[in-house]
Amino acid sequence: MKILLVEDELEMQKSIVHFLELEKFNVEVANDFEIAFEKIQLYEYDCILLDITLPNGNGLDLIQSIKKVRPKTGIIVISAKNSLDDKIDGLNLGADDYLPKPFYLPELNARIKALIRRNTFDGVDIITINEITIYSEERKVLIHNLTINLTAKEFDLLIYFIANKNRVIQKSALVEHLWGDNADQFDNFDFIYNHVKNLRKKLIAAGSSDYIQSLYGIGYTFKTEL
Amino acid sequence: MKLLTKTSFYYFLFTVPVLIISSILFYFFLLHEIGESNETILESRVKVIENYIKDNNTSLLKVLENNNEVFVSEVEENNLMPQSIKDTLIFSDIQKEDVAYKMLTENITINEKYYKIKVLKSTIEFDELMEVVSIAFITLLLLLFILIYFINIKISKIVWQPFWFTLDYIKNFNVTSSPTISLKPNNINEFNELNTSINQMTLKMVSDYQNQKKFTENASHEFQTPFAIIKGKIDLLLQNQKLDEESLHLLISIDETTNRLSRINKSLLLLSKIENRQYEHSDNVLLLPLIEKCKALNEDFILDKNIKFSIEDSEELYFKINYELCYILFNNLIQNAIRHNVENGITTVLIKKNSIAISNSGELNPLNDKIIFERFEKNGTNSNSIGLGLSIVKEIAEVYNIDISYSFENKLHVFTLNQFE
Repeated sequence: MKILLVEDELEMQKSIVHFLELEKFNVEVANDFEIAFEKIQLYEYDCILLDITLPNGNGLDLIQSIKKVRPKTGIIVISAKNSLDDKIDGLNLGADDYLPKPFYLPELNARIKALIRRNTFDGVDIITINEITIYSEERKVLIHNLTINLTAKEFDLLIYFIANKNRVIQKSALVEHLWGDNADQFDNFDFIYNHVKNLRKKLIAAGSSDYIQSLYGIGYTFKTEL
Repeated sequence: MKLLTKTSFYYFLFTVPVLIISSILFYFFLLHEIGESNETILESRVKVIENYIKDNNTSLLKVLENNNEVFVSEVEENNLMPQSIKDTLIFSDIQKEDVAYKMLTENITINEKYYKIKVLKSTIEFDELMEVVSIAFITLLLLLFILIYFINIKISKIVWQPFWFTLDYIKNFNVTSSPTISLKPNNINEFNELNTSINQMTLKMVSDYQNQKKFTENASHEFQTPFAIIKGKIDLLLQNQKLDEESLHLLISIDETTNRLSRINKSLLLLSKIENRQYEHSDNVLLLPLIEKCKALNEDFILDKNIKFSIEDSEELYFKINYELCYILFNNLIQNAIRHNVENGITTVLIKKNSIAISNSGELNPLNDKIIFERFEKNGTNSNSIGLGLSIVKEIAEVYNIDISYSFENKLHVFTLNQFE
């Protein structure tokens, strides 16, 4: 899977590239508008991560050229601008997703994977990992080919865990994934344990291996390799 | 005090001493003139009497003497005195009071006989004269004042016309609406200068506002990017298998603190954007669906505390407000009503014809309503709270003319909002 990262902050670049390479993505980098523009014309990417504020040009203009040359490429706008206009403009021009800085790298990873799945399999979006099969469009989960019932939150958790399998996921990243900005004001996230605990119980009850490991005070790992 | 009243007052203040001084001068001048004319009259009378004596016309002299106006007596040569004029008071039987007279005494010689002639003439009294002068001048003063006042009204209507226009312009000036129309020159130099200054000032304000707007956005970018970098590094470090548990815990604390910083930054930016009126677009927002949306988004938090959350609406209530800000406003209030609630507590949203009230159970003491809307004002020890939620609420409410008040009723904390036109 080939990804183009358009980002002018060197350190930001390095972190994103590093994390995505752990996920076996092939990441290319563009520092400014011109390089990005050139690469878009020359190569095909599965997903483009685009910072809107670039040294010599507006990232929003790039969206239009991407859509012209490669209409099927997924675009995720990553921006420190939190003005509502940016989000609306970006999405109107054809970006698929918007992730305001700062964000958790596992969150970015999960969004990239979801976007690529949607674009690549033309809606037939199936995730398979060992005995677990997920039809994400229909929000259906099968274990050993038997359907299990998950709540909306449990389903979202499972998708997120699988996207970030074998990574350490901190509790607050999960909270932000499930509740977004809305969780900012709250100080007690004990109920996240309940959601994870219930998901884990349901998976084990259906005969799946015990993938979810909790790291006390830190978060969780969805472990598929030993 | 109106400018017109003020100028009239000063006109009056400065006119009074001028009139008083001139009335005093006038009084003495009048006194002097009357005195002189009386003397002339008396002297001519002496001449007349002299003629009478010469003609030996005693009957006429008798009449005059009876009237107490002329006294003629023969004197010895050695008793002659020079001519004298003096003021004197003589008791009048008719008026029953002393009356002021001017008296001329003169010696004359007729046919080698010496006569002393005393001629008297009642004169105007000082107090009478004073009265006349005062009445004249007070009348003059009043007339002058009324005249000045009306002239002032008339003049100010004409002269201040450009000023009122300028004032209107300033009142209607809005820094966010561009392009701005500038004030036109007029034929009064002072107002022309005022208009030029105002034009320069508004131009500066508009450009400052644009700069600030840009700065706000740039600041957001500049702060959020370092936070994003820190968080990225933490995410990477967490994946490092060599780290022991203690290091992981330290990393989590760093991450949480970074989140907090980032949240404070975001909230302050939001506050300054609201203050700068950068959210111009406003809609007619029906509150019930919005409240239901807030409730749904906070469902987990409501369930976690097992709060009985109810929405009661008797009327459809709309606020004229930017939708996003309206959402932030009510979400903050509802989140507060959940956060500061007790286990198994209640939260009620009551929508009425003109107002919406959000009440919740919680601490049994009322909050200090003087400080709850202050920035960084925190109640309790919730470490995740940054103390800006209610400041944002207040700021949004102010921009959209929404009155928000806090009360403590029946052990419930109640925030009531109503929008006025």
